[in-house]
Amino acid sequence: MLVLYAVLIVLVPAVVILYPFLRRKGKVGESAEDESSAHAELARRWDAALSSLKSAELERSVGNLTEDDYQWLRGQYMAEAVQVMKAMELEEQQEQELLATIDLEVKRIRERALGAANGKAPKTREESAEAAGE
Amino acid sequence: MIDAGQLALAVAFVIAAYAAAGSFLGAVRRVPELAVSARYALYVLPLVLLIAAAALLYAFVAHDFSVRYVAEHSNLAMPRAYTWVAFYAGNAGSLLFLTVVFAFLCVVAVLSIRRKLPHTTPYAVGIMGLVLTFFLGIILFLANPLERLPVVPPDGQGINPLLVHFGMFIHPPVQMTGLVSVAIPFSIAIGAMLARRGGRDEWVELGRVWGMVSWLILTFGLMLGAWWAYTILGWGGYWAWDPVENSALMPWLAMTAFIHSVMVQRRRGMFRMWNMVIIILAFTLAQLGMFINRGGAVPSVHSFAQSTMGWLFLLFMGLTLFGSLAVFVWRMDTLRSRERLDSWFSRESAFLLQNVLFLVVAFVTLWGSIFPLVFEASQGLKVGEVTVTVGKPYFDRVNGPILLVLILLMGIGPLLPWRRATLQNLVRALRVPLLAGLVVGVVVAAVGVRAPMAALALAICAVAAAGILQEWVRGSMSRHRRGESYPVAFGRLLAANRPRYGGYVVHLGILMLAIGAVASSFYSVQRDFVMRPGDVASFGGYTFRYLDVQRISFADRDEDVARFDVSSGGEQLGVMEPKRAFYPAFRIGATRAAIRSTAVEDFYIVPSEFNDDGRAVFRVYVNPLVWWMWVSGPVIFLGTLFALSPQRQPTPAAVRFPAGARTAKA
Amino acid sequence: MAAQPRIPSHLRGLGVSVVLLLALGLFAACSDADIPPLERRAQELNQAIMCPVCPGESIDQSQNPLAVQMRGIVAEKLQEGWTDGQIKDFFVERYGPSVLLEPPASGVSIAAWVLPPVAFVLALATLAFAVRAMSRSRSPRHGAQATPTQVSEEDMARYAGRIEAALGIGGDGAKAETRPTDGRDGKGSG
Repeated sequence: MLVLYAVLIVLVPAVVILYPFLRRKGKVGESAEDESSAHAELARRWDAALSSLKSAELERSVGNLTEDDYQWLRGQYMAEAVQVMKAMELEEQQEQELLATIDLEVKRIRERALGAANGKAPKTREESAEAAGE
Repeated sequence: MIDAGQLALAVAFVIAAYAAAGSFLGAVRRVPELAVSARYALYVLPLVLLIAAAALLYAFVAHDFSVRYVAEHSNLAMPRAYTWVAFYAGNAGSLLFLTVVFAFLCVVAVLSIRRKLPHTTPYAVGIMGLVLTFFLGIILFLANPLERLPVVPPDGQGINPLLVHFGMFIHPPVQMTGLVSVAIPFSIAIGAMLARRGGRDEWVELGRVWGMVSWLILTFGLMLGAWWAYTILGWGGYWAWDPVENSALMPWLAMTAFIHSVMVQRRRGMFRMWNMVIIILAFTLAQLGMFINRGGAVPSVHSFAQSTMGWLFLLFMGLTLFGSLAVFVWRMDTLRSRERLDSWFSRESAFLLQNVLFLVVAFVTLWGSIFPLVFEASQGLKVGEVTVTVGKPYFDRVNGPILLVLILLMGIGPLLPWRRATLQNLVRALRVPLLAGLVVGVVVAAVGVRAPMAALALAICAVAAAGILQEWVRGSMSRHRRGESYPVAFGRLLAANRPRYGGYVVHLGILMLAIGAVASSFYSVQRDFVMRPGDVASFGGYTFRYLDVQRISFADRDEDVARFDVSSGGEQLGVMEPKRAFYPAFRIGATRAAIRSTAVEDFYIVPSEFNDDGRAVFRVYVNPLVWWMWVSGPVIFLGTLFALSPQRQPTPAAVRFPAGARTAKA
Repeated sequence: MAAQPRIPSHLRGLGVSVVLLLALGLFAACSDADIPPLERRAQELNQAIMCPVCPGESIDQSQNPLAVQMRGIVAEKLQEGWTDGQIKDFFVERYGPSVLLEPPASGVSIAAWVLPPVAFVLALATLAFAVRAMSRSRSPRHGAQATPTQVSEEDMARYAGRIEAALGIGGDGAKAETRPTDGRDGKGSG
């Protein structure tokens, strides 16, 4: 009986603990968002700016903030929010462009491979782009 | 089965040590598999610990007195239901309980931070592993609950009768869980610092959540303890400022400070360094509390300093304190605030003041608790020769005023907007609350000619109540002006601002607690009555007739149950049965007060003595507004849940591409 | 232009009556029973004196025979006309200063009393210093920390309105359309 327990208590944890070393390297980590990525930072600043805007408006409507103070704060927060939004747009745009370039490259490589098999000359980038209907 | 449990403890110790070492190494040396493996070790730890806990439970249920702990805390006559309490009745068992619960909490915590804070997680896991290794080391080598006795006694000693009460079923577990749970926000914060991300505020969102969870559990632990003391210890009070209570209170004070100042960091990126210091302080105090609050004989300040285990705890406390402070200094340049304080009158400043005041209370409490030791040292006396006592009157007098200021701040705080407030506005907003305070103070003082302190305290509570309620009214009204009916406006106001209004609900709960505490501290009355069966007496508007006393013998105790017929203003209120039990095995007497509790006051009878000639002495209390203190519990709980419920802002995408044609006319 | 919310008269009346009710309720709760002054003094003294054999408990709380005896002595001495101070000294002579639940306010143990207010004052002073250090300069409008990069007028115009719409707040206090501001994204569910 004790042997059964010993096996359970020692072996099961051992297996669990060793598992990460034994599994195939293919599965690199789970896709976790990098807490320090620029995108995460922007998302945080966006949340903070918007909740501050909402907060300030509530405080103004309740009467705790004077109109002057409110306008000043609104200016600050709004500028921050808009800035963040523009940064996000820029990031997205860059990401789109990057993805598009990668797409193109992949197509070219594929066509080259096909062309080589069929004995045709490789297309240039522009031709590939046209063919892709960009 | 016991041997399996022993094995489980040993294996758990190794797993915990591996989780700590592997996680740190994996993070520093950038070996991801090692860090993942260490995290998995943490995941599997609670399961292994459950086996050890099951072994102990089994030993209790099977009355296996070969296990020393079972022999010391149970006996054949003990009903099975008490097994749960017996588990943590003593030092070793309570440490095991603490560790099991903490292991589970760690798993939940790591699962919650793993995706959002991938860089911080390995360090947080490492710290949690360190704490677990420490506890398991103590359990394994110094306080093993599965330790066997060389000779098996035929019966055990039984459980301490003071523990056998509903309050004791939940107070110690909740209290211990609360204390150990402080390690979680601590791990997240220090982990973030170690990962060089302390200054980037990513950890704050989850740090806030776990801080509030920990705070809530601590609050409940304290309230359950007070409730238990009131209903079972029979001295008419609920808080005596004794070392055990104080050591549980101090981490609560620090955590209250933390959950507020961390809000500022979340919103403005300020107080980064300050928050680190506070969470370090909170965890240090929690460790102190954990040691003093473990099961077993209630230790005094002196016994803490004299035991081996005490020294080890002190050592670990020093290690975590100085270690985390070292990390703090090392990473200090990553913690610079990105923003500045805009104004003296702002919510941020109010939070800073609140923090400081809470820390002063904690410091004063600590000072009062250790003062006897300090005094003796200064007189060159040996430890153990007490010549100075620091008791309830001291703490009441010294902490009372500061706590009142905090209550006032709690009421005024909501009136302060973030970043800046105009003085005129604030003054205008304060008109109604101050008026309310004035009215209440005057009325109370005029009617009950007592210490002015009492009237002032109640007036302050009224100011705070009016301040908070005013925010609710004005908020609802501003929505009402936009076309919503009052009930709808109120409901939507709460729903749209859950963190803020959840916080206000919690503040109202704390106010209920404060009002109950103030009223019962200043206006409780008591009197001793010597009565024979058939006698009638009256006190505080109640008339009570002493009917009889019956002696009932149980297996483990003899009870004297007195019966009273109680009425008030001609109306029959029923029969009350205060009792007194004597436990021959422990030679302890325990009283059980009879309490009739209404929202206005408690009528409380407790027996002092029963003489052979039929005379008995009873002490009767009338305690006003105590009911509010217990009712505040659910209010605080609900408020915290509400405040924790996530409130997402509209996403940038939603702003750029609003659905349909809904664009506002700006 | 946001009107400062003046609480309408009916609500103000309600508020006042709530306050009065609260005060009355508290008054009802706090009305005390008649306790003769000597007895009240005895209770207060009992709560200030510790039972020497039950550490931490006052003689008021404890049911120990010694505590009961000491309570009797207190009552007796009060009848004889002793002052509170004299009675306390009496016990201190017999059991030492530790029999009082407060440290004496003289000698070394005055440190127990002095430190808390000192700590309080020091804390406030540190706070004031910290706040001053953390504050920005005294020109709030054109503040020391302007927004890092100026956002163009056109961007502001384009987005400010939409952001505020998504949040469900009006622009300049104009009557915003009644949208459910439940904090979710712009696709409000109503």
